[in-house]
Amino acid sequence: MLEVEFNERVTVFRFKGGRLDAKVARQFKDAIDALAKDGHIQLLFDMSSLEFMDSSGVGALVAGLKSVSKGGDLKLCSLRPSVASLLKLTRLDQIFSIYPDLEIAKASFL
Amino acid sequence: VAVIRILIAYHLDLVAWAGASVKGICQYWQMDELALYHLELCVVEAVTNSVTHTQATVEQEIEIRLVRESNGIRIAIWDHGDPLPADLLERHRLNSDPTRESLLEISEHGRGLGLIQDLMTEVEFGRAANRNVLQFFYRWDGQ
Repeated sequence: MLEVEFNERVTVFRFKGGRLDAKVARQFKDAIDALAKDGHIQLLFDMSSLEFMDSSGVGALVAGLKSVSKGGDLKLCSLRPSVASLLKLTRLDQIFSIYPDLEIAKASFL
Repeated sequence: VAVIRILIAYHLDLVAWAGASVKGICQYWQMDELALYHLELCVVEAVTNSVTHTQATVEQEIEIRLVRESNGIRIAIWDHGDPLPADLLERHRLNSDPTRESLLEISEHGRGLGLIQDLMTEVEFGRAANRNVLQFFYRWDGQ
């Protein structure tokens, strides 16, 4: 489900699939939860391959942020305009740190 | 009025197809990418609700009716769910103002109908012939 890259300060992950919706939201949430339980609580979600997200996907992101909220963070980068518009509509862009690209996002963990 | 009808079984695997079908039809009218995404999103949200909240028999299907009007697109989604409260739409508005401080209280569910109401020009909910119908209209003055 996730392609994960472990770095010194941040764990970067990508979603293997273009759609984050009700069909896969539970598995996605469980995968982030598993990372957090393994101690990977500084997370960066590279969303560049995500073509479609619905409210179930948004809910899974909120759940992921809650999983790492004690001392960690879940940041987002490289959102397509459609996905960015969904986060803005739900006003959840207020609780996530969102970056235009991967390098800037990685640097924010320094 | 010419109506395009799409019928799908009550299964989450098919929700994406329903959304993609509507998007594909709307692409014919050369709508911009964001408008196409918003229409697809609203169909996906509505059909997901139909699938997850309906105890359907194997013979029953969700029906999507799409009509191109002179100034926009009208979409109606019919399902076999139980009757729902008249104030359903009012109860599901996106009116929260989430903050990091209130993170643990932020809901992980229940935004679908609110999104539809925010994105579409008109939204109505009703019941006819023992089915629920959620209808929405998207104003669009393109070709």
